[in-house]
Amino acid sequence: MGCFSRNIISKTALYSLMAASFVGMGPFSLAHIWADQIAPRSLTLSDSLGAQHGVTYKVAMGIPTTATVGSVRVQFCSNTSLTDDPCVAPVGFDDSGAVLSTQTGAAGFSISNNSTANELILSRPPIVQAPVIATYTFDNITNPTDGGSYYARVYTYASSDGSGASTDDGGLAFAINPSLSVSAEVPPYLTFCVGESITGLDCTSATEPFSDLGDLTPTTTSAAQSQLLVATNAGNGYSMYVLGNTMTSGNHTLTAMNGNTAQKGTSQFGLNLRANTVPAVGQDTSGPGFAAVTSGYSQPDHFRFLSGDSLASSPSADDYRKYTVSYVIDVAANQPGGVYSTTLTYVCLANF
Amino acid sequence: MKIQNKVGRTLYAVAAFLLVVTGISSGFIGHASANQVTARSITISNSNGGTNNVAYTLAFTTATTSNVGGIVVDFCSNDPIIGDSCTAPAGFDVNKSTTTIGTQVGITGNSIDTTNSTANKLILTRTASSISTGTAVSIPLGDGSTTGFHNPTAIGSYFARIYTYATTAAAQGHSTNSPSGYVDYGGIALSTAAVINITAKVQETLSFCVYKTACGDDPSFTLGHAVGTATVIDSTAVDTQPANFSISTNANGGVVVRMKGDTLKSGSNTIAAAGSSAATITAGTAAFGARVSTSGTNITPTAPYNNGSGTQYGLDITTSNTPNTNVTSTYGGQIATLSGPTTASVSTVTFAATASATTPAGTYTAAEQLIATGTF
Repeated sequence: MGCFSRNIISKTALYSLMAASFVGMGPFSLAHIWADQIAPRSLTLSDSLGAQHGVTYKVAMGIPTTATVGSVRVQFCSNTSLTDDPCVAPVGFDDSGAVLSTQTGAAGFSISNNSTANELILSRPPIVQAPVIATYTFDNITNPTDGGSYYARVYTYASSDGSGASTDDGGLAFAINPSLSVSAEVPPYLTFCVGESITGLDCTSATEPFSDLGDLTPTTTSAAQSQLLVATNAGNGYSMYVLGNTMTSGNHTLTAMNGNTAQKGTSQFGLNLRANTVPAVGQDTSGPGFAAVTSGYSQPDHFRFLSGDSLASSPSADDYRKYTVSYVIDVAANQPGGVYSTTLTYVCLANF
Repeated sequence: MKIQNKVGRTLYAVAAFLLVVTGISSGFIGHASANQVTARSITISNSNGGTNNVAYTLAFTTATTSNVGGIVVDFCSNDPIIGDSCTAPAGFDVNKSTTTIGTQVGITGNSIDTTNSTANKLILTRTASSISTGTAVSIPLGDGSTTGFHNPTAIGSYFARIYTYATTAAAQGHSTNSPSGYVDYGGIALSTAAVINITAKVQETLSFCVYKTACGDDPSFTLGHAVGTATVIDSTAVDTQPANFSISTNANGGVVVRMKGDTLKSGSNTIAAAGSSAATITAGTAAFGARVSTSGTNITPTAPYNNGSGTQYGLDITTSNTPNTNVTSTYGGQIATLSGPTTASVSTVTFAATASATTPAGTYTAAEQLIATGTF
């Protein structure tokens, strides 16, 4: 009876093998028929630009079946994600230099030498693997050349080399796209204006830059003011200069001051960029900029004039800065009569 | 009188003989007076050869008013002709021990005689009662899933022969190859057939297109407004430009859309990113940001890129929140999610920038990639 039973079993096994062989599926194809679908599954790229080198691909796959897993195969195709269909390698895609940088869930794998340019086989000694979401991060992959949709297929195998029927499998789709280039031009600019007065930080409000100091007398220090507004995005900032002569009337001149204070009865002409009390004229600088008034013109009640002097400067791009230039004139009792005047030119140089 | 007596005896003898012959005929050749049931059919729930637990519904209309105590159905592979020998269809089995009977119509109260039934002979018995001619009968056999008949193995025609009997005993005594004593009869042809196996493969799809006005064009653009003949950004305005992305996918787990890039840069100079919280960009305060201004079907923008119809923008280049919205991280920052399978969901991302008065001059550029990841 025992021999009879063994014969029956042997024949049954033989018939099964024959049947399987007959349909061209091999003796282990039954496992493939009943393979579960890997889910969830996703493929995240660090760069979606066509032909990009050094791209990181992160494969996430939920292993659904408790089974021996010795290898994982990730296949990249241009034609379809269907695991039973032939795979056409994406043009330009290359994973031959891929590095398995991280692995979680089902771990202990290394990239097999059986891998190809569009197929990564992860290998380890076969062990029973419980269902888990596994992730594998591959660095140094080259994207397909052209934009569009591409596919990946993931399989698990009991063998260590991706041979035999797969235990579980699943397909994926991913997209290659051109990048979106945003450009914006910031033009170089220097805003500079002068007026007898400027409202706020608006150059369009600048009034005529003409100052009439009236009649000069030895007992009075005459004063006037004008305003300048400067802003620039010049990376090396700007310098503002004054050019011109001291006040003259024909051959008669007023001595240019050299940092001294106003002195009634002493013929002199000078200016500074501060709020003064003697005489009460001028304002300190205002506005969001940080440019500084040059030494020599920055001390209240002390005035100076030398053509070509720098009045203020900024070492870097500077927001709006409003300067008030105060002018003072003293005359001696013996100062010859006449109409004293001068034309001052302010120059602002931006250093881009 | 004598003669009359002889004649009378002769007549009695003839009459007696005729009665005997008639009596023999009535009892022995019962089918000679049986009628053929009409509107007879057997409906099967599965025509695939070799399938088990197939429901068979027997239907016919009686042709004789008579007591009915049993119904017999023979299944044969050779023909449906009453009286012919019957070859059992290979593989066929009425599964007499397990087959159930559903709601019966016309001739009710039948049960399967598991003692006398065979693999291809079904005997149904009931308490005999009179059934009128013209009675429509329907007897469902098996539920088609867990109980029922086992179809013949081979593909092709096979046959059934139906008999009704006046008594239960007569039905139980039914001889397949030599039936007799039945009330009504009828033949039926059935057939198994090849199953049409239809396979349709649906592959995973993810069609993701980033474009300016139509899929396939270059989505790149220059931010700014006209100053003279130039297009510039400066401290006087906030300039905006849109780009679009469309998604079609069958990913059940949806799609995550990430943006990978950086803020606007010109050499070592940068325009500040709008930040990890949505904020209004004000002219003159240098900033560069983005927001999903129009959300397509099933799209949900992710903060800080979710101030759809507003004026707030975000551009996270520093944080590592969950979800990660940092566009400079390895896979980029999440700007939107698609909840599930969708066709042609079109969304718009609007970018905005302004310069400050001190923003160094230069051409500022940023390459922003939109990356879609489907979860299948």
